[in-house]
Amino acid sequence: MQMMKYLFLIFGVVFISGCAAEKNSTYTKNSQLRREIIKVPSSINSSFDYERAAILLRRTSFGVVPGQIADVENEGAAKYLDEQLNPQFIDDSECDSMISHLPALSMTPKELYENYPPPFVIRKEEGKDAKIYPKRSTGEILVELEAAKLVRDVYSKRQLQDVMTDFWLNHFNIYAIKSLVPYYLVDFTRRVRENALGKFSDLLKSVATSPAMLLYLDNTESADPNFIDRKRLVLMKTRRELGPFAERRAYLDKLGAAFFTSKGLNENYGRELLELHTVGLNYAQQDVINAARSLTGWTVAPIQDGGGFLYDDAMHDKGPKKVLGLEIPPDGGFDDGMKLLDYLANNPMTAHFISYELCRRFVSDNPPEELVDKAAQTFLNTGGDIKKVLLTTFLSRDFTSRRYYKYKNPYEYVVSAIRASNASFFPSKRLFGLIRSMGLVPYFVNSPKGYSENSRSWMDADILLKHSNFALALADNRIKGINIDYDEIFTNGNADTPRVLEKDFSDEVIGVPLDSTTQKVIEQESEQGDMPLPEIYALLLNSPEFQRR
Amino acid sequence: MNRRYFLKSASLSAVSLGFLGMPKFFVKTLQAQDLNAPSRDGKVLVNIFMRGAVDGLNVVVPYGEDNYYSLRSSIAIPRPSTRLRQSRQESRGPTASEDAALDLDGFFGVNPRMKNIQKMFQAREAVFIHASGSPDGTRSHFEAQNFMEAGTPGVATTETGWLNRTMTQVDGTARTPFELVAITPELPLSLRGDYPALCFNSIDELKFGSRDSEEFSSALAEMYSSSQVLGGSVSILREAMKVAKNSKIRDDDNSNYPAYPLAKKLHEVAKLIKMNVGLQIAFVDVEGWDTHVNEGGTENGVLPNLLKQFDESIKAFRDDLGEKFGNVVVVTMSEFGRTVHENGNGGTDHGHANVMMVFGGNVNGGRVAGKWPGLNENDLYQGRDLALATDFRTVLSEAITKHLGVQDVAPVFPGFEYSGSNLVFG
Repeated sequence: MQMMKYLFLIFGVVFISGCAAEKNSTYTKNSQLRREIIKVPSSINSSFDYERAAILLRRTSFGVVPGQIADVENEGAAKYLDEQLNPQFIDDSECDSMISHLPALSMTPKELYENYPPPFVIRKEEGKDAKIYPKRSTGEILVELEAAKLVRDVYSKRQLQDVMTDFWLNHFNIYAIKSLVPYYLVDFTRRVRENALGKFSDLLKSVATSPAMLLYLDNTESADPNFIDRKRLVLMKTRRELGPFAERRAYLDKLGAAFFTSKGLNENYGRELLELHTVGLNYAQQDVINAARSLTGWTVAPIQDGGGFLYDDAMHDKGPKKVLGLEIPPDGGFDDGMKLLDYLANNPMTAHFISYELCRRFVSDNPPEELVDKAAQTFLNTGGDIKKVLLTTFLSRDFTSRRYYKYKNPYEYVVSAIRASNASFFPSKRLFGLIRSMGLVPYFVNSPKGYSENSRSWMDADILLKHSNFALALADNRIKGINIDYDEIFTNGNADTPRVLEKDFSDEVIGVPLDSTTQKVIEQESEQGDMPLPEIYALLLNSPEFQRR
Repeated sequence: MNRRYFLKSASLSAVSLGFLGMPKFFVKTLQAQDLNAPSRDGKVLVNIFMRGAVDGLNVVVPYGEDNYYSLRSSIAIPRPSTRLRQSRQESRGPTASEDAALDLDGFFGVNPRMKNIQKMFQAREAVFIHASGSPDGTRSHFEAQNFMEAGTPGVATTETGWLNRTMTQVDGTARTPFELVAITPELPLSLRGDYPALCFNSIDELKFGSRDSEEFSSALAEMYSSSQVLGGSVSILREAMKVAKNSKIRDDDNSNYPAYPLAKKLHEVAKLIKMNVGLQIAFVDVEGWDTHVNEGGTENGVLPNLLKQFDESIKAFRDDLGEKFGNVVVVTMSEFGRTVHENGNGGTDHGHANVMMVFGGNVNGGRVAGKWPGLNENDLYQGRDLALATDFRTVLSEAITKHLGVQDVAPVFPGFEYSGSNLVFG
């Protein structure tokens, strides 16, 4: 795509602030390669005709790009799924290189902290009137994260990995505006992305040891209820063993800040780990307390020291614990938490909960029970192999059945409209503003539950207004950074009359002829001839057919 | 006496609203005289949902309880200074300063960041119902919020919200698209159901593109004329736009709202009220109350900052409405309270009962109403939380019967027996 260069240039102007690009590690190939390679049998090709290929594409990506349906039909659904489920073999260097020009995304948490310090730190050093915005604001980190997500979701060839990253970022939702969380979101996103198609237990552990999650749900502050007494002992012991303060200092500095601030147990992460991340609403209050106790001491090193995961044994609750069916014997340490995560990751309730969520995402708001059970069975049989669970879902008859469908949420709608229009694109503040007003911005959903995966929660009276206003602005090339070339939307060439536009759109984006009502409306507008072409295109983008996922 | 309203067009009768069956939305184009003579006496109920579980014990502070001070060593709000001077010797609380609780009735005081609300209380425009909330024991935010918004604690399968069912009881037939409105990006559960409801962030959003073209909007309506899912939505939208456009009384300039999220939302509500477009129920929510860490007592912290914003937002709304505030009742709720004792991080964890605040020009204000169960160890729910004395549905039932004229609350709160109360209106 020639617009890549354009994007590159714009990023050069907007984002480059002199950071070494070779440190970029937004995508680590090695960790992907360790993973099992999945092979999809070519016998499935016959069940994906043009219409079903369109459904497969719509649901496993952020929307159809003109030309894609024919490609999948011709080359076979097996090849497509093979590629998407083993994304490490897809050359996505163009997309990667666009993102590599976002400086914050290649920095470590410590570097981020130094380059975008908290405002109070700047003001302390430079006085009250120090200039912070926009260059040194932590908001810049979030802008770049949002930009990178949008670029990937629009341009990446590893679409299934992006869809799953979106799914897991929501499953493990983190709200960006809390204490030091922004500095760890780059790391958090990378963890989620790298494990998005791996084993659920790896993903769960990677999230559970991520500073972003530990900070967001307050586990950094959680300690044995008797911690205060213990803290006194540690301080006394270091005094005895290490002598005067100057010498103890190096040791004490290694302890997380929480060592000095925490006074006891915090249930926040323990609860959401059970309710939102694994077994669902199948626990008692005592399970929450004991899950929290198992994870005491899981905290974060001072950011000035790199800010990595830190296990602080002095904070850990050494008593015996029982969470659901798991008994954790006394006198454990870091392993107590790992035992808990292993137990939860492989629990049948988790298998069911995750499978249900996946089927709700990919099939229907109310997925058929047999399908969920089948996916859950695959989950248990394969030790939580996400690829295999997905494949079970994709190859089920329900997946392409006309009985089940979903509507795009506002974010998906935006991304899919840009993709369907083959538009050149770079993420601008205006675009963020538009998405924000539609009610769904990555990293900005306040509750740990994330946004709702249920179509019902967004298909309200105003949704068409929001979608229309976006589509009207998009079609008219009024959104800064996005440009549609009407001669080049479709593989077919010039779409310069309403009728051609309608036909190409239904062929290359929807995959089946539009409903008769939609056709009639476009026909009428075409005959009356006073509605501008972009407005007619916006109507197509607002057709009931395009709202469906 | 109701005017008769009739179908605007045949297509309206055929469409269905949302996922929830046939619409009861029969409208005619509103004329200027309709706008100036709104139905149902212009009574408005504003529901504020404080998501995240606000710490009611630091909002309306039971400073007469010794246990409040012994269980909250760093975040307790000191007793009002006058009282403290008399009893400094036996006081176990922190020493008082100008950051002490603002006295209400000799036992309760409001958080020092709520100066304007204290004044409203003194002017009898505010009532607090303490130890109120949902009887369900869940400590999950999401479950508890759903229970409250559905109006059915303990029943997870309710698909419609209590505010929607309230509107069905008020009359059953929508005359304007603005009767049931949420100032939110998405329609909250409270408003879901058969009755036509709208949500938006701002009235100014109600137009199609910069050209706001009638052609586009009517083409869209036609495209969805047979849609099961969104057909009704387009009709409501088009009607709402027409009404908003016809109404010249937008925003008079006396209003003076601070730049807080809640203030902006209340500003939109005030606009709707002043536009006389038939608003009956408005819903807004305000987030951030989940104070597990660094809640802050009198120091800077999460809660004092949010309460300052809350206080100034309510004041701005009240001042903006002026006399019209007499027709308005504002009711707050939150999914549950927080632990009486503070946790290890200068915060509080998920608890049980909470405080509900009611504001309005016509409430029987200046009282902290409802039974107070006390904070002694034996009085606490499960040994850790404020016990429940008043079911939130009692407060809401009183508001919708006495303020909106609902006759029968049973369909609004199925399974709940309401036998009358004098908490809000005395």
